[in-house]
Formats: sequence, structure tokens, C-alpha cells
Amino acid sequence: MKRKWIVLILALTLILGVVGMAVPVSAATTATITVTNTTQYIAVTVSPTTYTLNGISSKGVLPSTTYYTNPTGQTTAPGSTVADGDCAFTMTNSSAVACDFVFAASDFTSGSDQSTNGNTGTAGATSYGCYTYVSGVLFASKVECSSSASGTGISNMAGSGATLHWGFQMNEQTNAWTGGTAGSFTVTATASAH
Amino acid sequence: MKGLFKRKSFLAIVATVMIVGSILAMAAPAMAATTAVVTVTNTTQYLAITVSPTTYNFNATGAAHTGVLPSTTYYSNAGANQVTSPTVGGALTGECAFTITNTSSVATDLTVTASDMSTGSDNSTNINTGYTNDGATTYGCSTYFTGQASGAWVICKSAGSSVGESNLAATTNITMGLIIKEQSNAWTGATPATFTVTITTAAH
Repeated sequence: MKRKWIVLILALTLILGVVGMAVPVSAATTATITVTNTTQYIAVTVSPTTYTLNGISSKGVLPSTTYYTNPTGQTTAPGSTVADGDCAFTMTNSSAVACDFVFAASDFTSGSDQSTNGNTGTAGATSYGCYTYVSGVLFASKVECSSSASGTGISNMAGSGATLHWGFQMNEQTNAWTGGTAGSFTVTATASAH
Repeated sequence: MKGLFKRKSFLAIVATVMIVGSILAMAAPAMAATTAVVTVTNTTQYLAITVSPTTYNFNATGAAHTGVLPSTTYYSNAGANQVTSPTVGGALTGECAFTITNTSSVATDLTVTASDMSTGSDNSTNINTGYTNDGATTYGCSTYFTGQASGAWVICKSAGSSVGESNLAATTNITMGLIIKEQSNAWTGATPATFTVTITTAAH
């Protein structure tokens, strides 16, 4: 009887030993990768969304004259390197990724004198020229703002709520105004993933 | 049996399309905010005025008015009596002979000048010191606008006058009058002289 017990205990020990080899410590049995699924979510806003050229003086705009969306003086060009204070607009990039921005300035859609965008940056008899500029960049690097297919106005702007200041230069048409009804046009900034 | 099979196939296709459509819709949400738009207002500095009437004859309207005398002050008072001053406390619209129609798009200042006389027997020159003064062969001139008290009436020079009406609102009309003090020398002839009064508008 005693012998039987000894054999049984030995057998159990053997079995447990085998099981122990089959179930090692679990630390190295898994390798984990955490995957981040960054959506190419693009969302931008600009402030303000309306603007009156030369509105600070309330004198309106003259033909053949250049105006800047410069809060310190709308007939004063920004400094050599554009400063935040030279820029009327704040772009907020809430995108998940860094973005490039392309600007487009439309033809006038109302007013006594409906200038068109000459798409060359310079003014013509009934056309205007437009450039955009960005804070922190040389003013000389301003980008011509066409009615479509402009160059990249802002490159590689960080996302996640980053902000950037920008403005534009307006070269008014050369022909004298024929009326006093204000015109309007839109400047559209389109963001795309950098 | 064949019809039933067709119906089942059709339902299967519809279901598949719906599922695929739903998945695609979830995977590609609308990117509504990829653009930011600024609406720009381009208020032209358009300056435009007209005046009416464009001719005027001092003290010569109607039977009672017999031309002007030396050393005498006349007013372009729209009332019958051109030797009566407008209200010194503030000229009334009815006392102003001229209406300036202002179609400017911005607030403006109006400046008025009066030339030397020409074409007459006695061509007075502008003394440039206002309606309270004249000289042997010079006349004095000032302007008044509706509502202005006499202290605000402005000397009307042949050039370089001060602003007669300041900060006139865009597209707002106003009335104006002239005061002239004739030269002190007696007239030497009967041929009327003329001079021009020019109203210049500028953005305020």
C-alpha cells in the first residue's frame, strides 16, 4: 500500500513538472503594437470673416492705390519681415495634420465698379492685383493671390489648433471710380494636408 | 421558383449596396471646414457733387432789385430780400440759395473759392479777407451753410479757403449761401461783371 502511495506521488510530481515546462512565465509570449489612426481631418477657421479696405480712415479706397490689411495703417506696408501686428487675420488650423494653404481672391460681385482679379498682382484699368503675406516671413516673399490656382500662401502650418497671422495687399484698379456703391469680393483660404 | 430566386438576388444586391454605402459614408466624412472665407468690402472713395442753380445774379431778380451798389453787402438769401442777413444764430435752409447734391460715398469736406471778376466794366478782385471787408476795387466774400451761426461763416478766398462745411455725411445734400461786400469805388460802367464760385469736395 505504502509503495502504491509513493508511486502515485512520483507520478503526480512528474506530471506537474511537465505542465510547468509547458506553461512558462507569460512575460514574453505577447508583443504589443499600439496603432495610432491619425485621421486626415482638416478644419480651418479665420478671424475676422469680414473686412473693409481702408476702413480705419473711413475715406474709402482710391484708384491706383495700394492698401494693406495692416491694423497699424492700411496704406503702410508691413515690415521687411512681416510681424503679427502687420496682419489683420488670424488663421486657426484645427486639423489633425500640418497643412498648406492656398488663397484665392474672387472678382468683385457687387458695387459700382466691379474690378476683376487681374491674376498678375498688378492693377489694370478695371482689374485689381492681390498678394497675401504671412507673419514671420519676408514681405518680399508675398504670394500672388489669383482668382484660382494661386501658389501656396502658407506652407506646413502645424495643426491641432495652431494659429498664424496673415494679411493681403490690394492694388486697386487704375480707372477712376464711376460710382459710390461699395463692391465686395471674397478671399478664400483652402487647406490641404502638407 | 425562378421568380423567387430573382427576387432574392435583387434583395441581396440592394442589401450589399446599402452596407457598402454605409461603410463608405463612415470612412469618408464630409470635409466641411477645409476652407476659410473672408468677405472684403471695397468702399470706393467716390466724390461727386453738383450744385443748383449754377448761375446767380446778385440783387437783380425781380422788379424791386436794381443791381448792386458799391460798399454794400448782399446775401444769396433765397428769400426775396438779398440785403437781409441770414439768421446769425444759424442760417436756415430757406435762406440759402444753393443746394449742393452730394452723391459721394464717404464723408467729405467742402471748400469754396471765389474768383476775381471779369468781363465787366468794373472787375473787382477778391480781397480774400471775407464779407466784412472790401477795398477800392476789391470785394469781400464769405459762405454760410445751413445751420451755421455767423461765427462759423467762412472767408471765401480766390484760393486756399478754409473748409466751409466739414464732415458732410456721405450722400447727404446741403444748402449754402454767399455773402458779398461790393467794392467801395463807384462803378465806372454798366457792363455786368462775372466771377465763379467753385465748391470742391474732398474726403474728410
